Amino acid sequence: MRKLAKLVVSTAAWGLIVSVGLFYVVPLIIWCISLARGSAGAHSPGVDVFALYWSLIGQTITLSVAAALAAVICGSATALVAVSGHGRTRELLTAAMTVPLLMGFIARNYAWVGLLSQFAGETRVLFLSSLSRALLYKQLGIVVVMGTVFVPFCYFMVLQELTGLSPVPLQAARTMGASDATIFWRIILPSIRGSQRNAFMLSVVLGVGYFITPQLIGGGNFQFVGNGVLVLLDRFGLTVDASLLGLLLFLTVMVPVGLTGLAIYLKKRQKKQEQLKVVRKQESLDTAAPAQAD
Amino acid sequence: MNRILMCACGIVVLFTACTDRGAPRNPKLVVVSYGGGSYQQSQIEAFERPFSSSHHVDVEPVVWGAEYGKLEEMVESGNVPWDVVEVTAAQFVRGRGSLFQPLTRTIPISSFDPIDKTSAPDHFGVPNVYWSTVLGYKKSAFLKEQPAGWRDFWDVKRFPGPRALYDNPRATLEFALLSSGVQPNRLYPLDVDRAFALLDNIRPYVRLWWTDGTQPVSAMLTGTVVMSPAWSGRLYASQQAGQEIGYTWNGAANELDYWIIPKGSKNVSLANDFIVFASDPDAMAKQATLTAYGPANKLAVLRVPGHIRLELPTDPQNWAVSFIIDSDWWSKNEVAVTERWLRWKSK
Repeated sequence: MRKLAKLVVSTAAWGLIVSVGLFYVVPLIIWCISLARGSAGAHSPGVDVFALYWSLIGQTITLSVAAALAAVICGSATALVAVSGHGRTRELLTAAMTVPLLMGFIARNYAWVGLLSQFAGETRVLFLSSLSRALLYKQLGIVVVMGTVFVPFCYFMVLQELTGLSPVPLQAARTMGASDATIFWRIILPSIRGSQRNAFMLSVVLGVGYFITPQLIGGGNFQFVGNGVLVLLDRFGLTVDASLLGLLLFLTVMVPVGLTGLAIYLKKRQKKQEQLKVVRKQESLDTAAPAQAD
Repeated sequence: MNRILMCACGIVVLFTACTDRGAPRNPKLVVVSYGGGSYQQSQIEAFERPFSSSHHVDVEPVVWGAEYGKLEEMVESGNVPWDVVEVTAAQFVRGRGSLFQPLTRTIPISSFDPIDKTSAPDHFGVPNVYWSTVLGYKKSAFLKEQPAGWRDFWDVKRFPGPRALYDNPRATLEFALLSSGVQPNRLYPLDVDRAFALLDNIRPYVRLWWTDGTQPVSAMLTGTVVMSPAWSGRLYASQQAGQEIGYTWNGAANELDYWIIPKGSKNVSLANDFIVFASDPDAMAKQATLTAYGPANKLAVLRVPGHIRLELPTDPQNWAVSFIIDSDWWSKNEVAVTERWLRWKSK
């Protein structure tokens, strides 16, 4: 029985590796090679892809980071409310959090545009029309709409971390007379920092690939690299230029993510080695102590 | 429970198989038009529905945004689900040697008299309709004085309020140059640097860069913007619906669309029949009556009722104060100018 389970798990793992290889890595390698050879498709000498990339990447990164930060703050706060509330509160919040994930891109964006432009035109309520002025076709609007999409990722990651939090240090802190604020800053926040960081990185990686939301909510005032790729590919069929722009975006995301991953790995390895050193030192002390006693 | 489920599945399969063996299906023709909304509806009513019933063909109407790259990819991959496509004049110039199927049926000369400055139907395509981008404005925003041209669009002191512009350099650069006093007959070759410098002046007042014909109309109706270039047919439809949007023909940009058959279409013969049908003066006049865009055929214009003829881009009065987008210039420069446009907008 155990053998069978092992076989199933290893087959599934290999299946996953092969799928990733076939559908992601292999085409990416072929794509890079054909780009280097300049044989991937149509190219226009009139297009300076690098200049286009530099003009678009700033807005892409800034707005994605802002949306990810907003999502981390809102998602963490909501998860804290859910954990400290009753069972029903948590169920309601979880249900509310899944709604943005269930809506399609276009529906979500058009819902926002419809909502905000109605406020501007028909509604005379001061708060609503000023909300529209602040959000519609503005950078803040893009951050808010993208943020609402990313909040659930952060909420679920932080919630999982919070529910698995040991009550022992909290009780100990309370017994020692620590205030709620101290407990929050000294115990809870450091405990959820890892999941917050993961949620932030996931949101940024997702955000830089956006193009529909910046176009519709930003009213064309703010463009992401994805908008540039779409114009080159869809309007002019310039596959080489569009691919190169896409590849630059891919590298922009993968290089920092890869470096961060490497830094985390090296830090963990160093910590492990230090721990091993301490254990070995302790062991040698333990073996030396009885000998001295003898 | 399982038995019930299996019975239900069996009934569904049996029913599907029976209905599939019904009456023989008509051949299917996919007709792709540029822009949806009232324009596509007019094509359905004037061309597609009558053609479908007279030729016993199922016509599937499809909308596209004239993304030339998409059409190019389809033809190159050999996977062409479209049969008849409406392309812009610049695209017609670029694609006639490589992307389009030569027509096998010609349009009778007796039934097609091209509008001035318009080429006659040739082996690769037939001129269909002139559509116009005009200056629209929200009437209630300008009760004392109404904007009369692009100079007023750029004049934010006399005509205050947020604006919208088409998110495309084609026509927008021309509007910028017209605002500075360039005469319509001296627009080409475009002074691109000067046009971008003029756009720098208006950019802080542009709240929306629209990509779809419905956007400027709804943005003006909701008061999000007070002025915008917009497609004349959309504004005509809005006026007919009693909405408070006005427009002027001064400095309007006229563009011609062509019917073509993409290489690789699976229904070339039927597609040819459709193009001949849609180029008939009566059919063209019917479409013009429904949407107020200008047929490229003089014989069709004559069949349009007088009060609607005044609203066509090809009406002599409107024609005299507007200009035609130079498809040759744009076919050579569109890629480079659009790349600059993207960079300029991200500054």
